[in-house]
This record gives sequence, structure tokens and C-alpha cells, in this order.
Amino acid sequence: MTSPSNFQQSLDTLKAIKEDFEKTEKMSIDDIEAKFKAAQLAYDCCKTRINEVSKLIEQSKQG
Amino acid sequence: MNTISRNYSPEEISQHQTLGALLSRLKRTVEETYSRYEKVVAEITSVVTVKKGVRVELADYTESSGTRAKISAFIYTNVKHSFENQSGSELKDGLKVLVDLKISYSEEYGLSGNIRSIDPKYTIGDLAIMVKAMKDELSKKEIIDLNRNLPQPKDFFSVAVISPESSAGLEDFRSKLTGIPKSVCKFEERHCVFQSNKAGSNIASQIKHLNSCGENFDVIIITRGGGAKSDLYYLNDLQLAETVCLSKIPIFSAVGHDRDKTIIDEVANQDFQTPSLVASHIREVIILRATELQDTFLSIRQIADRNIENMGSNWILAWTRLSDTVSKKVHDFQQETFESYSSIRESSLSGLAENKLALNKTYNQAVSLGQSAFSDSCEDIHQSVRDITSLARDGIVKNDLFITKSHNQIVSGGQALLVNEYEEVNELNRSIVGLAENRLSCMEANANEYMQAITSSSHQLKKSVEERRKNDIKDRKKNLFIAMLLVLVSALIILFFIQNG
Repeated sequence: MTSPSNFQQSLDTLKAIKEDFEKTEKMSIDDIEAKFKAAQLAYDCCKTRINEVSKLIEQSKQG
Repeated sequence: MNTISRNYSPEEISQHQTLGALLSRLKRTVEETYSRYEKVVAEITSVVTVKKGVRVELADYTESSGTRAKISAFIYTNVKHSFENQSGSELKDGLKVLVDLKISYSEEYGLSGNIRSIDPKYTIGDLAIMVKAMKDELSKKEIIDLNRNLPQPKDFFSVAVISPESSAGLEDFRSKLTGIPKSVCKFEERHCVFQSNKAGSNIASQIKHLNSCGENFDVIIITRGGGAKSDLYYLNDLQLAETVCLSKIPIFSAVGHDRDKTIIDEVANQDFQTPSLVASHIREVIILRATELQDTFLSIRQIADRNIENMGSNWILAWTRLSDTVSKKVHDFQQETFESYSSIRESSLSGLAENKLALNKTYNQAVSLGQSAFSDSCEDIHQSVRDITSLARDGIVKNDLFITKSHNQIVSGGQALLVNEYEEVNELNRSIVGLAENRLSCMEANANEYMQAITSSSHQLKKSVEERRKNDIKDRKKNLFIAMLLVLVSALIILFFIQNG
């Protein structure tokens, strides 16, 4: 189960990375790779919750 | 043994009165007893717009036992407007009013009232006064905004719900949260009686317990169904209000409909009109937050992909530009080289033609000079020969004269002396001729030698010019090849550096 603190931390991390990507015009391939790996890690921490919520959304659509 | 009772006869049936007859008597009694409008103080607990006016529910409360009496009454639109205009406040639930009320009775619909007028001076209801007094007290203690100012929960993982057991509101709440697994959000229910004098203290103790039990609840929800406003009386409790204010966990209030406000609604972190709405809010926030995280991640992936694609495009663009530049340079170089080659060829051919002309001219001049010199030499020789011959002839003539003279002298005297002189003269004559011939042959030999030298020099000059021309063309071709080689090597080095970043 994803903990609340992990989830919030991951969301904050992802937002910060997204902001970095949007702010920086030119980024080296190494930077892109490093940032994407960090984003992937943050996302993986919350993947269980994301999947369960996705099922919930599907249920809502069907219901 | 069963006894079957006997059926009533029509006479016996006609002896019993009908419900209609009973209620008709009641109606007559009500009309006779309450035929006039009477001044009545009551609190409005609901207002519903109907045709030609509004229907309100009037209630009467006591602090100890809650609702004491209630009745539904009709107010014409003009009466309502008159009250609102004069009082400056909207006719709404929670107002305590003084009305002119007449009771009527209908066999079909039961008791109801008709309000002829409302006293605008009597506008504040008891509940409103009570709530206002509690708010003043909480403000004085400077705690009224504490829970309201707590940060609103960004997500929900653990939620505590305080509600009456098996209430309609709790069912609505649960049904809206169907399908949310415990791994996503855990709901812990605490049940309390809401319609009792002890409701306030019970709910307050549950809130305190939830704050201190060690569970990290994201929110405490206080909820119940709608129902009559009189049922909310017990929730207007100062102790409960203080507990809500002091709770470290945000409290969501959903204790009734939009018309039913309590002190909890006033001080809670968020106020929802119904249990369904608070449940929907929780569900939406959970979905929203998870979707936000997923969308953020997908955006990052898209941006990263786009950046990499752009990088690739930039490489291709740079490569294309470089290729174009190199192609153009090579083309320009080829053009320049071709032009240079053409120019060199033309100048070489032109130089060659000029050299040829100059050579021919020089050769012709040399030949002409040689011929002229030869002619002059020949002329000199002939002149010399002529001179010598003339001299020789003169000598011979003189000899002949001398011989004739000598002969004459010999005839006349000394023959021997003349013979000797004659021999000397002849000898002299032969010497002159020999000398002349010798000189002539020498001059001819010299002329031939001079001619051969001129011819030889001319050939050497021609050969030298030809070799010089060939060497010149060879040197130019060599320089051209070296220049092309240097340009190609430079282009390859540039390409190598671009490919390797």
C-alpha cells in the first residue's frame, strides 16, 4: 500500500521534474535520462495506488 | 374448536359512523373553535415555493426536550414580499417569526395553517440566536477559526466518519464510496446518537479520541441524513463546537441539507450540504490526485521523448546542413577548379601559341639572319674573288705588258734576264691566284659552319621552350591536385567532429 507521505513526496518530485523540463530549453541527453529515471522511480512508488484508482475510474465509467 | 363469528347485518353496519363523518365533525369543530386569525410565535424550519406562494413549516422548541409542536402553513407571495421588504431579510429557515395564523382542517390532508401576515420586527429565530451566541463565545476564546484554517486535505488515505448508526445519510455516504478498496482509502466509522441531549458530548468525545488514538486520519467527517430541522437542535452545542475548533484533524461537516445550518457547519474545516456530497468530494479528490500524478509522469515522459526527438532532429538537421554545406563547397570548389583548369589551359594554350609564334619568329629571324649573313658572306667571297681575279688579271695584263716589253727588250738585248723576270712574274701570279682560292675556300667553310651553328641553336631553343611549357602545365596540375586534396581532408575532419559531438 502506498503511504500518504510517499505519495505526496512522489507527486511533489514529479511536479518539480516536470517544471525543470518545462523551464530548461536545452537539456543534455544525460540530464534527460537522469531526470526521467528519478521520475520513473517516483512513479513506481505510487504505481499500486495508481492502478487501483484506475480500476476505480473504470468502475465509475461502467457504473 | 374455532368459532366463526357471525357477519354484521346491514342494519348493524349502518349503526357505525364512517371516518369521513368523524373527520367532518372534527373539521366543523376546528372551524367553529378557530374561526379567527391568531398571533403565534414559531420558528420557520423549511420554506418550499408552491403555486401562488410558499409553504413553510413552523415549529416550536424547548431547550430541554427539542421540538414541541409543528405545523405546515401557506403564505401568499404578496405577504412574503411584504415581510421581506420590511424586515430586510429573506424568509428562510431558522427565522423565528410572529405570524397571524388561522388553523384549518381538511379530511383529506389534515391540519394546516394559513398565514395572513408576518410581523417583520420579530425576525430572529431562537436557533439563530443560539448559534450567534456560540459563535461570539468561540470568537472570544479565539478558537473559532482554528479548524477552518487548517490546510485542506490534498488526498485521502484514512478517513474517520462519525454518524448515527444505520442512518439514511450514512447509507448515502457509503454508496458513493462503493468500489474504493481499503488499500486506497480506509474508512473508520464511529456511531453516535444524534437525537439526544447527550449528542453534543458524545460526538465531542469521539472527536477527541480520534485525535489521540494514533491513527493519522486525513479528515473526520460528521454526517447524518436530512430530516427536520428540529433534529439539528442537539448539534448546536457549545462543547461540541469547541472540540471541533480545537481538533488537529480537519473536520468536514455534512449534517443536513443546505437549509439546515448548525454551529458545526460554521466552525468546521469544510461544510458540505449532504453526506453524498462529502463522499463525492473524497472520491473525486482521490481520483484527481492519482490522475494528477499519472498525468504528471506521462507529461514528463512526453517532454523527455520530445526533447530526445528534437535532439535527433537537430542532429539530422545539422547533418543535412553540413552535408549541404560540404556539397556546396565541393561543388564550388569543383567549379573553381574547373574554371582554374580552363583558365590555366587557355593561358597555357595561349602561352603555347605565343611561344610557338615567338619561336617561329625567332627561328625565322635566325634563319633570315643566317641567310642574310650567308648571302653577305657569299657576296664578300664573290667580291673578294672578283677583286682577286681583277688583281690577278691586272697582274697578268701587267705581266703581259711586261712580257711584251721584255720580249721587245729581249729581241733587242738580254734575253736571259727577261726569261728570269717572266718566271718571277708568273710565280707571283700563281701565288695571288692560290692565295685567293685559299681565302675563298676558308670563307665558304666559315659560312657553312656559321649556318650549322645557327640551325643547331634554333633547334635547341625550340626544344627548351617545349620543355618549359610541359613543366609549367605539370606544375599547375600538381598544385591543383594538392589544393583539392586539402579541401577534401578538411571536409572529412569537420564531418568527423560533428558526428562525435
